[in-house]
Amino acid sequence: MKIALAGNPNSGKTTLFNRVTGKTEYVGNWPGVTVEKKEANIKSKYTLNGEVIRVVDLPGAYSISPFTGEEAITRDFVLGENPDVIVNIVDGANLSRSLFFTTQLLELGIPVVIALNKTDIINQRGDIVDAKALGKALHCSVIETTANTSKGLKELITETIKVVNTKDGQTALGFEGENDVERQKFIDQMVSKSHIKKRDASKVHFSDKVDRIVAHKWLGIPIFFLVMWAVFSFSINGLGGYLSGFMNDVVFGEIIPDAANGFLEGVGVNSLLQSLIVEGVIGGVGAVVGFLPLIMVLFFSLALLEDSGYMARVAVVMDRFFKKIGLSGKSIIPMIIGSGCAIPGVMATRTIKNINERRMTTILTPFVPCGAKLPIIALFVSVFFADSTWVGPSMYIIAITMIMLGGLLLKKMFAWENTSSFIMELPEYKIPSIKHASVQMLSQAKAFIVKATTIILLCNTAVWFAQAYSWSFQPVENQSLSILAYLGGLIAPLLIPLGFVGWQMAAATITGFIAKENVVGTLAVLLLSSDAVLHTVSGPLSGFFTPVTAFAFLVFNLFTPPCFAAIGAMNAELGSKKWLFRAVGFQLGVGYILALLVTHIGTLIFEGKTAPGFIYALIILISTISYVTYIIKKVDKERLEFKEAA
Amino acid sequence: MIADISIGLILAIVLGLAFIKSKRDLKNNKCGSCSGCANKNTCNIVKFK
Repeated sequence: MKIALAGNPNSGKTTLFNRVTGKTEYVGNWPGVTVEKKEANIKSKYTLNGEVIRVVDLPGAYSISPFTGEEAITRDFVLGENPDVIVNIVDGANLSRSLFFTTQLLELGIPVVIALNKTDIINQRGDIVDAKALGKALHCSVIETTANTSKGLKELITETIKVVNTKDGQTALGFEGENDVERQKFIDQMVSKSHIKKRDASKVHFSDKVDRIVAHKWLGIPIFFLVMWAVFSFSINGLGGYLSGFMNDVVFGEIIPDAANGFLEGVGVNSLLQSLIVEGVIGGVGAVVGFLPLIMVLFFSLALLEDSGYMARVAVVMDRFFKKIGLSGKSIIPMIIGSGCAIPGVMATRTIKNINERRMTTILTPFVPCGAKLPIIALFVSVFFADSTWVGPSMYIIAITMIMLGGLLLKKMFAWENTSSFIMELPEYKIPSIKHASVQMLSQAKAFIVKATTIILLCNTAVWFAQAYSWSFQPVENQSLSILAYLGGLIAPLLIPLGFVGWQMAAATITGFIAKENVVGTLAVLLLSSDAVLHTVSGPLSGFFTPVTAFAFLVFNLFTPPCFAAIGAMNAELGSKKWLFRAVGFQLGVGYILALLVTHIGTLIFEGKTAPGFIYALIILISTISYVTYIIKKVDKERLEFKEAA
Repeated sequence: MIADISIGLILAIVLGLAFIKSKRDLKNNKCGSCSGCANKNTCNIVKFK
């Protein structure tokens, strides 16, 4: 049996899906989180006799006529793959609007069961919805549910199975109108008979009062920055930083390496094998896993913010600024999702209909520091900026600034059309669920550990071999004679104008393209020794950077192209190799120039002298500015010719 | 010598499993290098090429 979950965006489909299947798919308190269908078997406690029931969670849709890419996925599935039944999740807090899609589903002939969701909000408002009367009017069963607490889900699934087993087709409604306006009037008449509204819509409610402050024209942005600063300070310098410090100092700094060394020496293992295990595997993976508490605290805090409904307001606040650079508030959603992982962030750009806006958002989303970049931020903050609470959050502020400037530049260089308007449904504020935040946090933690024990482990082992052996596969005493030193040395000259001296930094940058956590893992494998801890102020990293060049290295690793997998996602969403090359070239240019500016301007201001490679930096900067100016002029000319021809 | 072989074998098995998992994820285009990504079930990159 196959059940399709369909409904408006943010009606609670994925929450219901997670509840009945036991999955932990990403849920957000805003519309447009799900952009791809997801399938899973229903939990046995919901079935009657152990029957295998497949549930498909579809992206939200307002209408059967698709407006966006993900709405088309819903339409294609419902029309093309003949599910046995459609469970239509109706947002009880927005009944009239939700039923527009419902009435269209009822006309398809596929049995429909309605889950009247968010009954907690209906009750909170004091409204009454007569589910029986509504079901009678719609010619189908209506079951009241609250997906957040699993209320009514057992009844919903039981009724759904019953409907499928009776094998009756769906009776269509008596609607004979011709257009959407007539359909909505028909729905409003139907709803008025079963929905008693106690809440006066014209009255100012709690959500409205809060919105007047947090979504205010001028206060919105400072409040957003303050909230983000609090979250990241708490995660990087506060509880997260403290717990990560303990993990790095004690667990992966002393307990595990000491125990491993003791054991391996005890059994008399070869010193090279011991070095591989302790320095390569434990050192490299441990340096990354040590930051797990920090990541857990950050994602827990972000999940609470999302669930409260605040993040949806951020999209509205940013809309005004984004419009000026050729984007809309809709672009902020992929960017917020991208703070977890750039891949789903890039995929979420699918919700944007305007091609220019979608391309620009795809290119700019990886600028938001994802979870994988956090260990790099945390490492450099703990070594070079231990007493500062602003460096960690500043990466996010620089990211927003770069998105603005980058958007402006992209608009000048490539975009031709104006952007679309942005309308977003704001969910009501609610007390965030600790359980939901914990599930999201554990999901991210699991992902982080799995990644550390697969691709990071492999990369660190490869890095250890490459730094321990020469091209003739002989062990080397001096790392600078190793394979890695040779490979890093090929890239290293390109990094000298940025102030990053040493093949080790080049090697870390290269492995960072495989997965960003590798930057930390590689530095740990290369620089760790029995008497040196990587993340301390006097650790081996301090010999390679000044605070200014350390900040530049952070900026460089954060704003150059993301990992290969994210580049793959960009390729899929951009849909052309030409745009992919433009995107990667643009990101590389932004990261490189930004690091260059930080190093040279920073050194001039804070050290009162020019940094090494100043002349080269000047040549690179002038060449880049000339090239960008040339492109802008060329595109301007093309625009003019296009207008004249039109 | 026996210790070297035993420990080396265990390490080889661990690395082999890590390699198989990473390769499988890469082959299925489930986030490639982000093999542990929490969102990989939703990631169907190849489908949209």
